[in-house]
Amino acid sequence: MDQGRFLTIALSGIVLLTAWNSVWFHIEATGTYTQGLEREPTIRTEYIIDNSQESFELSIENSTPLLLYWLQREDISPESTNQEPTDSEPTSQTNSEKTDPCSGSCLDQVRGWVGVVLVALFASLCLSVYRPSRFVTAAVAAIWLIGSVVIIAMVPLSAAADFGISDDGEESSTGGFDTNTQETVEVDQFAHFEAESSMGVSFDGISFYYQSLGFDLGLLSEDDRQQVINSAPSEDEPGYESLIGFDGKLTIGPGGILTWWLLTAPLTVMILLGSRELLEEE
Amino acid sequence: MSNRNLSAIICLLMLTSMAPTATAMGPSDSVIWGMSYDWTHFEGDVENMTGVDTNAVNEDLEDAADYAGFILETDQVVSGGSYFITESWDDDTVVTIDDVNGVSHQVTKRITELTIRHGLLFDMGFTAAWTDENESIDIWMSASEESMMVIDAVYTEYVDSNLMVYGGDLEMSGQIGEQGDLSFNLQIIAADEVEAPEIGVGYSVSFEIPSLSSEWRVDEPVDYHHHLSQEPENEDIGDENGSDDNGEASAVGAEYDGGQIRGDYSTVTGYTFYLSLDGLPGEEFGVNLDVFNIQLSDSIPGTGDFREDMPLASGAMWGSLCPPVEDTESLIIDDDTVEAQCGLASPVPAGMAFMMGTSLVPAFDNGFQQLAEVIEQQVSEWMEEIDSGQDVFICDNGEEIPAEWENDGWEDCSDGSDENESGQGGTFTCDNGEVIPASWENDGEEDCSDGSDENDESADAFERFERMAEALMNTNLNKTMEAFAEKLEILVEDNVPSDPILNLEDSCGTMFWTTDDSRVIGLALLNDEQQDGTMEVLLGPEISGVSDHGVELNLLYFDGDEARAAKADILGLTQLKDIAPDSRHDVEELYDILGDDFLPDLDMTDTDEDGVIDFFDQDDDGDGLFDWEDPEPLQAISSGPSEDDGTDAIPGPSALAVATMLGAAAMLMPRRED
Repeated sequence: MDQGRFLTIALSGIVLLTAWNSVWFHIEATGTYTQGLEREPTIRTEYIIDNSQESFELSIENSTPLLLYWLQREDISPESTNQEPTDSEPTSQTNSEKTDPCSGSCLDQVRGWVGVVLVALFASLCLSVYRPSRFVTAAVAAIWLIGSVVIIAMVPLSAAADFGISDDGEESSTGGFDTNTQETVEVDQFAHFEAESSMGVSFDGISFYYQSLGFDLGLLSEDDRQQVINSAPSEDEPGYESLIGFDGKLTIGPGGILTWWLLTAPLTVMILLGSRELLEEE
Repeated sequence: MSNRNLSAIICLLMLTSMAPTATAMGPSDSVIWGMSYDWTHFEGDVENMTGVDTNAVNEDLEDAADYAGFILETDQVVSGGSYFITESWDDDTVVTIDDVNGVSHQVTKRITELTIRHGLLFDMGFTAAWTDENESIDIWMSASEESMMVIDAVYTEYVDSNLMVYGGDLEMSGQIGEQGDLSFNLQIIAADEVEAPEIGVGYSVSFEIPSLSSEWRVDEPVDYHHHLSQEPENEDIGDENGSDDNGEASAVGAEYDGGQIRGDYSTVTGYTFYLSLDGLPGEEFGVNLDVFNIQLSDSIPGTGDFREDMPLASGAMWGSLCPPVEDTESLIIDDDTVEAQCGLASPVPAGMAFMMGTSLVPAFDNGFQQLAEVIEQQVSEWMEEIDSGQDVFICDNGEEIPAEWENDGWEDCSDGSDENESGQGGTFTCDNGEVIPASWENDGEEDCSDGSDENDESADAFERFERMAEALMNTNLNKTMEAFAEKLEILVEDNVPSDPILNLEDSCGTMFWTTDDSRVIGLALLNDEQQDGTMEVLLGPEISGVSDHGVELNLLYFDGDEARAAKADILGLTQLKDIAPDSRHDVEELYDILGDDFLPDLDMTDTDEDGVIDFFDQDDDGDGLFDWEDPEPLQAISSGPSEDDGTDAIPGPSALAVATMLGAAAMLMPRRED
């Protein structure tokens, strides 16, 4: 093996090792209350997956008015007003219906797959140098493609599966949060609710932008709610204080692993081209 | 205006522009006294007072652990400084003020300045490692605390020639801050299982008063200064107010209708709380996270004003019970002898104390209002949750049964309404299709033949913890702890004397004031060292005929020029890093105990290449000046001072001051030629 190809193989090994040790997937979200709360409280969250752990960071700046808002609002969802949830009821039902797709942590399984893919790519690259053949070349390409799918799709999907996120769940971005139920507040607790969303792609990943504005009925007394539902109060009218505006940005990206993985592509091509020359010489 | 005068004014203005604006020094004949404490000597002072050598106790802990068969290391470091200085003087300029009723009075000013600085750094480290064959426990803990208080208050009191008070003005600014952090790492290996949680918690709270101004005006002039100028005649009052049996001390006091106080303020209340969890077995409890960090922070600005009745009371107890310091004493201040009355009185005028209290309450309330509301609501929510902890299920016929009996597979209500999910939710379907009552799920027994009803991951975790605990109980852990406790008891006996060196029960304190102008000029803390009925001065001014105490503490008392110099030194210190410099906080030993995790990003630079990195070196550039006294701690001076620490060095003029003087001289020079 000539020195150049040895260096390329060594470089591929280093790149794959760096990919393994870098961030695999990250979600960053920032939400600012632009209306209704003093000093525009801002929530920042970051969720990161790497080869050994999932980490979650949450910080709230200007948190006092936000905590007050969460504490002061009343949950007016039909479930909370009609019946008291009990411990036994949801447990037996969900457990009986719950399926465990991974028999354990899906992410741990996918971590294993990523490890296998990285090792397999390195091994196949070495093989393509020592025993070049069309089959090995095809295997290298296939492993690279499979690796791309695993990194881009399987890692986030496995994390989602571990969290129990499925398609049938409805997402809410009202900015409301109920401290009693420990859940975000659904749109049906707001009156005259308007929301706009958009999406963009950048080097960081896919970004979602969200803006909402509505009157949070949970902040109003029971007598005032219907009046606000009937007509949106203007600035000086009672009920206007329940107007909550929320701007959010969510960025989902595959982390540094994808960059390093993509870097293996030119190295792989170089190695495969060298192998092809060898094959043609033979 | 002549050029000479013009240049002199410009020169004066330029020099004035360089001086701090918020506070200033009083005149050279002011009455000034105060105290300071250097927290770096805290452990030594504890030993001097109690006889307990904390470092020896730490060594006892380590030796006892060594004897018992495990490793334990611990240390603590404290540093910082505290200063309290009060200065007062008279301004005889006659001014006119209006009382509450609009009546004008010709008065002069009595000015009192209060300067408080406090900065404290505290660090503590603890590690322990125990092993017995395959089982082991490792503990790593680091705790730190920082606190700061900066208060500057200027009180201007309006009095007539008879020391009757007509009101006062208060200008104040201050900062109070407190911060604490705790990191705790634990690794337990037992029964072939490993648990290694890492927990970090911390908080910081701060309350800043950028400005507070208030004005107090009386209905009727008040005479509380007379409490310090006219000795109470009725000796009997002394008995009622705690005088000794001889009736040598007597008390006087009064409550006043204080008139009105009004003012305004601005505040900034800030806080940060954080929690960091790593390595907790969250997955087994349904939390798919390995690292969890949460932080809440806020900085709440507040402004407001107030107007209310001024509460006012004053009093003094003449004579002290600290023989030989009992009645009037001669204090030596700046080589002058001052006759002073002994007793108990407020160190600052009653008007100032009450103005500060009355003004701070609304400012403090305003700052913490929102935060207090959050805490109050959260606490009440928790209380509600606790109250509703005993959940009940109300049957359709009105009967009440425990909530957990609902849908448990058995009809507990007489009308059967507790089983309300038509057989579907009240049962659990096993993976193999068998159906069992829902209450049998995760009850600790396998009821499905395939065991699929026992699917609670947290139960697995608890089982694992039980196995680990059992494995630890089968080791020598208990015996090790018993041996440690027994050995420690023996070792500590040598380092903890049965009687303290300085018995505080034999102590007493007294204030000193001058009766001609009713002004407090100092205080003293005395202690009977020989227990012979004669007290010695532990802290206080030089008193004629009274000897100093043999125990020397680093709590310093100063008055006169010494106090003036101390005040000049601390006036500009408003940041914790200035009051308690990091460079004086020697944590090298803690680093040896706790390792890299204590200072993960430690800069290894060693400027003077003396083998001690700058972070631990108290003289980074090796120029003979301690870093906290060195204006350029990283730049050695070529012709610097001697090895002396430089504490007595006279501060040199700044470049700007030199330029100013040269400029002024240049402007004046042509005049001379003319």
